[in-house]
Amino acid sequence: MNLRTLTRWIPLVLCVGLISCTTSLDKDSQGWVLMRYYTNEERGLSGVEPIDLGDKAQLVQEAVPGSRDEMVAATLESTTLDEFPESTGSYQGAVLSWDLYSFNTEIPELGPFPVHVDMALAGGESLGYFVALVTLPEESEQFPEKYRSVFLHTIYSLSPLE
Amino acid sequence: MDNVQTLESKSSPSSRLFAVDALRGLIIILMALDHANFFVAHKHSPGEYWGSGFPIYYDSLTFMTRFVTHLAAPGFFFLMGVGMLLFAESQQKHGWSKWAVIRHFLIRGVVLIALQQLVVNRAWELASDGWPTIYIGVLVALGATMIIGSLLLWLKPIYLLILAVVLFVGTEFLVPAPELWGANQLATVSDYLNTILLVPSGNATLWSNYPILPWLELVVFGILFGGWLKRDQNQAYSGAIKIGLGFLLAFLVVRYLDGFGNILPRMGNTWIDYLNLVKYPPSITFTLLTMGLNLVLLGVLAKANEKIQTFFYPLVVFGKAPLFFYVIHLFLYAGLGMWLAPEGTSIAGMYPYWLLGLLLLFPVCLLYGRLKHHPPVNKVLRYL
Repeated sequence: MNLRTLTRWIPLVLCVGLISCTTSLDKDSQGWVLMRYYTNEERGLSGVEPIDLGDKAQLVQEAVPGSRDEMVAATLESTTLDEFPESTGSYQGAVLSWDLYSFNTEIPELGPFPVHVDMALAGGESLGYFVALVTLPEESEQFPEKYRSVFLHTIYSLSPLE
Repeated sequence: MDNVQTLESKSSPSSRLFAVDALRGLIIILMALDHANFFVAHKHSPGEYWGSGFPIYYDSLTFMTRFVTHLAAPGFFFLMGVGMLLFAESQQKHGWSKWAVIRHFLIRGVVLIALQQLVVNRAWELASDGWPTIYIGVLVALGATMIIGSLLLWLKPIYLLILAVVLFVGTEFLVPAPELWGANQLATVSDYLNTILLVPSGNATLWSNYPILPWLELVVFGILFGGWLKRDQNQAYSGAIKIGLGFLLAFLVVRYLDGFGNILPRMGNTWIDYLNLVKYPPSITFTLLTMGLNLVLLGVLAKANEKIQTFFYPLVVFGKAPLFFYVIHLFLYAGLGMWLAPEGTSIAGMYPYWLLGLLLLFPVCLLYGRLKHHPPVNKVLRYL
């Protein structure tokens, strides 16, 4: 009786097994990233940051004096971009409203190789907020969800200190 | 309705407790999924702690594989409380004194704590580079809360309710700010008490994932619910659905407000961020969500007709041998991981291993369940 009951589960078990095998994804394309909260009084910011993003990506988040135009000018100066790209969209964080940008460029300070940049800008007349996630293009193509997640969680949580 | 009446009319003790055993079986196999993730897929996050790093998941399958397993720990503590009350009640009818009941739970609690240190930690060591000398894991917390809970079995329901609420809210007030992660150096008696009783923390010698007080609230709530079950099972199971839905509603409000009750604020606003909660220690939102789901499941399972009960019979087999399953499954999945998937798997690729483990465990648990009721073996096994 008991084993007969168990046999009723066998089709279900086989189906799940089959589906699992056929939908099996590259094991490195799934997972999680550890993020931690920080408060930095010197920079006047609080937010989250990844604990270990590896050596193929770099995340920068700053509060910078100056207007949004000055941030754009500073970006053009530090990259090989001829003109600043169009915004790809906007994002409402817990505190700040962001304009989003995504482009490939070179950053001479890092070296003569192409990088992919996801950038978010927020702010007003005198103080701006800037987040940039810089990755090797092949890395961001291989793990788009991972880097998108790190980037969006960073800009969601970034807040000026009161 | 006819089915319910049919069930009531032949309400043997075993059919009355179908829902309790089936829910325990369900959360056991979910727990096994979590451990298969750890041992086989190597995709288990370090855990959702009050400080340190918090895992953000970038694919829904990995997240859901972790999320569903959150039902397990709160469910175990709650159902242990229910079982303790029902056991005490039944043994007192057979002439046991209160002291005999307390002594039984005292011995059983010590056995659980010893099993964690002597046996279960060896399984964790199989897949870890290092493991603390003393680890306050789930069995230690179950053992300790069982011992404390045995002293509360005869409290009036109102006092149990007050105690559960005080622990539920009070322990969250005592969680430090995340920046203080690592500040507890285990240098003073107070540091040790804090680690053992309140806040997951520690060092290479002593580590606590399940401090006692935040989990005791669920044992106390279980004892309270056991009392309702003893008085009127239909009312208790209907009440479980209502309370469960109330918990889920409260979860939505507290989570949306994103303040007290969450331990850490949300890091984003996706559906995963809303459901990704602090488990160590259990935040108010974690307890509300998981216990809300557990209570609704309990109420729904209690309304199952005979056909559905037969379908879910394997869950009952697992649910009647929880400790046996717990100890065995850790070594089984550790072995499957080491021998069949030493490099790990994808999350989806881990599922067949999980199911294989359950298929292997089913006949063993069935046999153990039968053996448990055979004298003289049952005199020893009743403590396991």
